[in-house]
Formats: sequence, structure tokens, C-alpha cells
Amino acid sequence: MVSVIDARPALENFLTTAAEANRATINEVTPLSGGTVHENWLITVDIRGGAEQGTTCFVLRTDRAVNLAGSLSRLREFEIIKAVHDAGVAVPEPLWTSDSDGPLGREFFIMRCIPGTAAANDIVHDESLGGPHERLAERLGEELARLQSITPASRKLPFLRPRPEGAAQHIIANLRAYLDSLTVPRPTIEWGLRWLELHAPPPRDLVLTHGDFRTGNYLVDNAGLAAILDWELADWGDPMEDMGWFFMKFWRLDETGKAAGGIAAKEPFVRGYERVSGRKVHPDELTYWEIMANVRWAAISIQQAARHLSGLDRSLELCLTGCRTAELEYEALRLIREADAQRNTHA
Amino acid sequence: MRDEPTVDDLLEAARESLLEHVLPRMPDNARLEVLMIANALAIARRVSAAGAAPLCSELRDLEAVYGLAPNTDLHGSDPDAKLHELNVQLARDIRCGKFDRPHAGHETVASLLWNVTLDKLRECRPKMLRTEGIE
Repeated sequence: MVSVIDARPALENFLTTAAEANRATINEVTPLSGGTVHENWLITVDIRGGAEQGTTCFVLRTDRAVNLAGSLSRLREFEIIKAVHDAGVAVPEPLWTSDSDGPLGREFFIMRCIPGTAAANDIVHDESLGGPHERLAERLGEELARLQSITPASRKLPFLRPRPEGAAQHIIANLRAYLDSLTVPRPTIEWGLRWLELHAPPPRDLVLTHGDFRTGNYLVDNAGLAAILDWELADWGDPMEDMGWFFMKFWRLDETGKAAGGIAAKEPFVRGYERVSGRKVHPDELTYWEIMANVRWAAISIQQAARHLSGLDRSLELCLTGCRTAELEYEALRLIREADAQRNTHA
Repeated sequence: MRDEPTVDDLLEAARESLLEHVLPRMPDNARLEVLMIANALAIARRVSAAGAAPLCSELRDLEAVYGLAPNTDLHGSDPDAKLHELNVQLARDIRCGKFDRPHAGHETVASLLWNVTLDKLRECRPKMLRTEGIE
């Protein structure tokens, strides 16, 4: 595995060929925050000849260390971004890709750079970022609806596997299999999974899901939404799955009263979604998927800490993520209590 | 008996020093890492200060769920081993539906999990208990 900085000459050759140019010269390579799993690099390139002639900024995305279990390879993530780009979703334009025989010795892809910020803390606390926040939430609902226009019937992403048992039962089975691989028992997560198993709404037709649709994974500029980022967890799933994830308390930071990702109430997001998708959002179903989101994130937080504890990927950030499992368990238990109390009142 | 400073004192002093003397000299791109270190020290201090009390209370609740006589000799036995054993059992029983409503144990287990989770939050994220209006 070669570092992006060391691979500069090989990357220049790659870019020259990819851009069908006479010559590509990299002026600058800067690391962008890529989270705990991936590396994102901003590369400024002088291109002579071809359609990209001039000085252009690109983002190169590759793996940092160990890939997260269940996440897509960079080449498949590239295919997803291409498909959603074609469907009209706001994403950075996907340009070129390389497999592990290429200049980095690992898969990567290159997108056109879009200016803006994805820093959740800034977006949540600065009303001037991303335009009026109510409109931003509505727009995110619209984008979610747009990405769901891709379904298994569109036969576009053959590497995503069908879920004959339904999205909810599929996730429950996966999470249980994960818990079985741990040495420490997790009765609270089991409690959540049992509730989810017993209360699953009738399965809806599957749609493409982002898998990590939240504040922190979209880019804004001063005018509004610029792009939805980080598609490595995309999969076929339930239409309410991403919305439940987006509304999770965890993503609101200290803006807990703003249920739509810490930026607005749920209503504008739901309004935008319903208008573009033509689907109606049912509150009970949404609550179900919010509980699922908390239970799933609780399990992932254990997985994140395990990456640190195993020694494969030492990081204080990953380690501290494991200290937040109880927050997610708490929220799952609280929502279950509330949902049960409501059912008892109606019964 | 150990001499002072205690583990709590050391962790608290380390955190104070980090926040008062190290953080102000840090460049912007290193501040987050320092704040994470301070957070880790604060959690470690709260866990150390809480001692065995939350584990003893969890064990008592688990023993009540399974109708076991309370283990009075916690100092002589290994509470971690017993907790592990009973939690493995609980996790298995929850999955196979043994505590589904309207089973008699449903409410007991629900309140056990709630209490255990609150105890964990007291150590890892006490701020959340305040914003949730619990404490």
C-alpha cells in the first residue's frame, strides 16, 4: 500500500490517461477529514489538453486501514455514486476509478471537488451554513426521496443482494450474528432486537438506502445543500430506514429539540420527502425505524471500539465511541417504552 | 492501604493540567484530540469513583430476575464472573422470548436494563441524564 503523497508521479500518469490529457501535474495534495475508515485527499491538478484542461480540484477517496465489515469496496461505492448521480441526487460528480493494481496498491476513486463543509458541529450551530435550516431539512427529505427512485427492479446495482426476508428481519439477523461473535453479552441490545422482531411493520418494497444518512455526511455551502457524501454503506432497504437514522438523537449533538439532524423539526424533512416520493410517512413506522437506528448504531459503536481494542486500528476516537453505546441503548429503551405506552393506551 | 494521591486524584489532576496548561498551547488541528483525551480521563475518573457499587446493584437485580439468593460475599467471589454468566443467560432468554410481554418477568427485566443503562450513562455521559431531565 503506497501513501497518496508518495504515489504522486504514478497518480499524475493515472490522471493524464484518465482525463485523456497531454499532461497532468499535481500542484497540491492535502488530506481532508475522512472519518475513521477512509482517507479523502484534496488534489489540485494542472491539466494540459483534453476536456479537463486547466487547474482543477478533485477529491481522491481510498481506504485508510481496515474496511468496516458490511461496507462496500471503493469500486462499488463508485458504482453507487454513479447510479445516484444519474438519478439526480446531489452528489460530487464521480469521475475515475482504479483497482488495487493501480498507483496506490489499493482501490480508490476520484470525484470532482465541491466546496463546502460537512462538519456537523458547525452546521448545527451556525444558522448561516447551509442556508435557512428549515429549507435545508426539506431539501434533504427531497434528496432522500430521489435516491429511493433506484430500486432492485431497476437492475442497476447487481452486487447488492436481494433481501427476501424483508429489510427489518435482515438487519435483525445480521445484528444477532454480530452479537454472537462477541465475548461480552449485550442484553440491552438483545432487548431492542426482540422488540424490533415482534413489532416489525409489514415489509415495504425495497429501495436504495444510503446507510449513514445524517448530519456530518452531507456537504453545505452558504446557499444550501451541496452534496450527500459517504456512500459505502448503501444497500437495498426499507424506505423509512434512512429517515429513522437521520432523526436519531445522536446526530442532533446538543440541539436535541431539532429532531431532523439537529437542524430543524421533523416536519420540513418529511414534507420534502413526501412531496418528491409520493409516499406517506406513518409515525409508528418511523418510530420503529428510529428504534432500529439506535439499536444498530449501538452495535456499530461496539464494533468501532473493537477495531481499536483488537490492535488493528488504534485510535482514541474509536475507543471513545465504545463509551457511547449506553447513550444509544438508553434512547432505544426510551423509545420502546414510549411506543409500548402508546400501544397500551390505544388497546 | 495505598498512599495518597488516589487514582481519582491522579486522573483529576491530569485532566486539569491538560485543559489548563496544554490545551491553550495547542494548534487548532490538535485541540479535538486533546479534548478527547480529557474526556477519556473524566470517564476513567467517574468509573473509578463509582467503584463496585453499580456492578453490585446490577448483580442484585439479575439475581432477583432468576430467583437466586443474593450473593452476600461479593468481596470473596468474583462479581465480574457471576455478572458475565447471568448476563449471558439474560441475553439468551431475551432473544428466545422468555421475557416477552405478558410474561411475569417482563417488567422486572425492563427496569433492570433501564437501571443498568442509567448507571453506565452516569459514568460515560452524565450530561445526557441532565438534558433528559432524569437527574
